[in-house]
Amino acid sequence: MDLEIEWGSLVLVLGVAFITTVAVVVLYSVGLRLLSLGDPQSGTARPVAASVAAWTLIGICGAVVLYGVYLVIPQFH
Amino acid sequence: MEIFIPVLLVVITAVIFDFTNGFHDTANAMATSVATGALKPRVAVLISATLNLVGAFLSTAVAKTVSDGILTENDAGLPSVTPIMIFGGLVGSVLWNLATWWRGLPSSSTHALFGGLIGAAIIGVGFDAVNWAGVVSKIILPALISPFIAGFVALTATYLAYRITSMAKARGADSGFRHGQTVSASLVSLAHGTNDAQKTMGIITLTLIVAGYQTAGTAPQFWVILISGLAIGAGTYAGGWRIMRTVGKRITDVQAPQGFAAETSSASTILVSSTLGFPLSTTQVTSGAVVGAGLGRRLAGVHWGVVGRIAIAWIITLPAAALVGALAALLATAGPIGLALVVVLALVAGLGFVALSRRNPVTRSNVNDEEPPQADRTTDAAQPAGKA
Repeated sequence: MDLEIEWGSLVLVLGVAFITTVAVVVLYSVGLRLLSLGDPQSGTARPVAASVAAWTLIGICGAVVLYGVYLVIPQFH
Repeated sequence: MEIFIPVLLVVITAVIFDFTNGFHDTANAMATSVATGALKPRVAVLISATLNLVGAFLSTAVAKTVSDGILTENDAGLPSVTPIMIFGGLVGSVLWNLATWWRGLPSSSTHALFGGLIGAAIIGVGFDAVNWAGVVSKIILPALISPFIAGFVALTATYLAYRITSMAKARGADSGFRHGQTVSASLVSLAHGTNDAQKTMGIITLTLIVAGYQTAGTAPQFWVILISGLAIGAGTYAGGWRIMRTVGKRITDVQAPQGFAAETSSASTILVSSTLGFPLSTTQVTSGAVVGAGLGRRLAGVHWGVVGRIAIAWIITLPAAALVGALAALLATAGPIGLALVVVLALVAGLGFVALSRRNPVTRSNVNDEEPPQADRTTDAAQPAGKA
């Protein structure tokens, strides 16, 4: 019985999964934080730059999800 | 004709297994979404069922590698098991899936399936029929490693999500996380569909080939793909509320940022591992991610008693399903009366678990009931909140 644990690919999986997840969660969270700027009660509007940045970050997360769908569906590759 | 009845029994039992696979694993993708209120229970199972059905049609790559390297193959590339043995193994898998569902434990359907087959193969052929190196490298190691990888990733992700959104008090953060969670949970469902329905297709196709109804090396027939997809979809829609409550509420009370972090961790870990060719186990990944998400939020309590019970269920799933599968195969291969007896006993036991679960039903109306089981230790909830 030859047991070959592929430690290399295991570490690779951990590394890539970690980086992907942290990147998506950080980008999305920063996006949400930017969207929360401004205060409707005191009438201060959210800066345009914040809105643009927020939706750009959330858009990047969306692109990562689409790449995930691409990976799941074998017909695409 | 001799072979027709065993083949028919395998097809029926495989479809039943596929159905239990569906409602057993609904929790993997949807438990945290239901727990945080990101999706209404009925909507959650509908999305998950649809994506599982779609996933079943997307890929049949796994189904072609019939026994997945778990059983040794002869020169013709086929494992030396008969349809009756496969039937016995499936009985073990179905009964173990029902038993763990009754106890609300998210055990792996894949382990139950292979456990049953391994048990039946040992009884029917001998220890040589099992590729033990394959069992260790494809089942045992991934199961041991998966929860820790996913847990570590989810812990970090949860901590950062809370940190960046000031403990999610930023305006709109909560609903934002719920939307994000819906997307990542759907991705988990789709990935699940492309994997798990194929296992049933693989078993049915293997049986058809062994029985001589289909040429070796050919793809699953359309009706096999169709019934496998429909069975797993129907099972998913039926909703494993018992297991969902355990994963979404009993391990830890999952909040929106945690649910988002946990599902994103699960989705990326599953996709990365299958893409890079180191397949991890979906059930273990999602449960590990929920524990990690619980630990990643300060003040959150993880019910270690529940985690312990889940861990025990994981460890005994393979041997337990193997034992039942072995007994069923032993009896079924003894002759027509033995085979009939297995059918009757399996029906009685299966319906018995359903009847037992009726005594304290978990439905979509009480799936988010928080009351934890008695005598569970939690992580020290009195810890100071810290700076986060």
